[in-house]
Amino acid sequence: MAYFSQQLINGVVLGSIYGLIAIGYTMVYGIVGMINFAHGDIFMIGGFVALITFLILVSIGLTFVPVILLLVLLVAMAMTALYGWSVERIAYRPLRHSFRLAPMLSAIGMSFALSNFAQVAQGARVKPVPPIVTGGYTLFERSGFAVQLSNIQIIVVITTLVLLALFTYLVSRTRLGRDMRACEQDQTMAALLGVDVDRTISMTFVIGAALAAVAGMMYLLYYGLVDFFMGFVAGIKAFTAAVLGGIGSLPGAMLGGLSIGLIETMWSAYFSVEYKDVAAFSILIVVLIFLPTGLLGRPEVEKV
Amino acid sequence: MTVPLLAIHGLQAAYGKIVALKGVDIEIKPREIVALIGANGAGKSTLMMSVFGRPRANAGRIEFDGHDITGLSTHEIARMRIAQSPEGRRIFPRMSVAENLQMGADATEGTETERRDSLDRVMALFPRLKERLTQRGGTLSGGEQQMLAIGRALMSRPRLLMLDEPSLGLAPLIAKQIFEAIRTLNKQDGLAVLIVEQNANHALRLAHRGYVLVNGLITLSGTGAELLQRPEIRAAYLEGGRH
Repeated sequence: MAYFSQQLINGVVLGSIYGLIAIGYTMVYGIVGMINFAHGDIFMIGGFVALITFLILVSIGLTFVPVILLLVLLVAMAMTALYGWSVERIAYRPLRHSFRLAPMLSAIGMSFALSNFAQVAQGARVKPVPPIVTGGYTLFERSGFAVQLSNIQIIVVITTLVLLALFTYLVSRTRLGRDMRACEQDQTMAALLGVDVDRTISMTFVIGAALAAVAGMMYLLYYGLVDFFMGFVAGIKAFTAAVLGGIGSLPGAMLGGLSIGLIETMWSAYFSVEYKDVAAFSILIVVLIFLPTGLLGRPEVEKV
Repeated sequence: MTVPLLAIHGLQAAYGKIVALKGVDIEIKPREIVALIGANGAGKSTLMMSVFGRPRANAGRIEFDGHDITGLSTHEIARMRIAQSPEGRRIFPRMSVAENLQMGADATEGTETERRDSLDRVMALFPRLKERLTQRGGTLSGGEQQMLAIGRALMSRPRLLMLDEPSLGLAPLIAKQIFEAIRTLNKQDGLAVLIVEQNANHALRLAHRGYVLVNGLITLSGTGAELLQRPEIRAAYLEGGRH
């Protein structure tokens, strides 16, 4: 039971990170109907920007950890959002009225371009950082096994919850959120009602990238390292999470992220670490066989 | 001679290679109801959509209130307070009725009071929508969706309202209510209306003037009463098509 609780905690933390990335996939799919394959690399860029910002702040003599974390968070979100915005402008918008596969191919190219850019600019080696947030709590101890909850785990989960609350408010209550949903449902009609569709799509990429940046920063804090290739695997996992939850559904992305995180952690704990990815992807296949639209996806039939 | 609210000169537009409009001239004056009649595929809906640049004009000029709007983007044109209840209604199916109406209100700048006034007016016009405010648009019946599409267009407090087949799929009684509502809005607020209707009889009786569109060209125009008397109109659009 103690061992299980520990894995539950680890799974939820990992799942939060996947979920934050998955939201970006699902939002973009909802509004422009494409899979943004470069989104995993945007997450990687977020991790690097966080690392660089952290090193700069430390080198100018800042030592108060909460301030450092807050500044790193804001800089990473802003810089990565700029990347997300640029990727859409350069690689997707010119292809919007082209054939369906064109932006998808462009996205794959953008993914290579971003990861190679990071490799050339920052080097191919894994970049470790000393632990920034240390300490934690022992929740309880049973039969010699102590269930630990580290401070960084608390930070990851709380940050995710706060962001989700803000994001849900944005989408359901604000003008921008309403415009985003309108564009998702009928772009022509949205334009007929004065919605600047191009700007709304840009904002979708910006918000998705900012959330991925937070995930990148959390990854950096949690695992203590980044490398130029980390966007690939994390991106595929988060994409899987988005599909599992039902692509296009925002709560689905978070649920899918948590599921993938938990499956991976539990499988590693009870079976074998080597096959954790096989487990995650197998569950995806099984779910899609029985629920082709994912856990919370909506069926395509719509009354007209 | 008043400046027309909407003036279209020599408008040509196409969907890909299919030419839909071959040089159309029409005018709508302030406080005027204008009907556009024609058979299926004549280009009526295309004409309405091309005012918004979808499809964009290949040739010709569109002026609204004296400003050339031919090259503006769709959302800029909408913000000049031209509203459309388009073909197929195009309500947002996964938004509540209230949110659909709010989308209409968002189209133009306005104070909270103005927004509430427009909402009250739409609710008075279509009491049915009031009972359905929290319901999702996609769950409404066809007639209710039609009311919502018109209500949404009115929420932007338009200067020009374009209605594409407002009576389509409605029970005759409700269609009559909608025509009454249009007449009232025109009389009380001086709202200019361009209306496309299959039911030419209703449309021409409602309208001050009408145009007949055949294969992308205007072939006839005149006052509603004049057009109703023309034998070729009676033969083509009225006899047999009457409710």
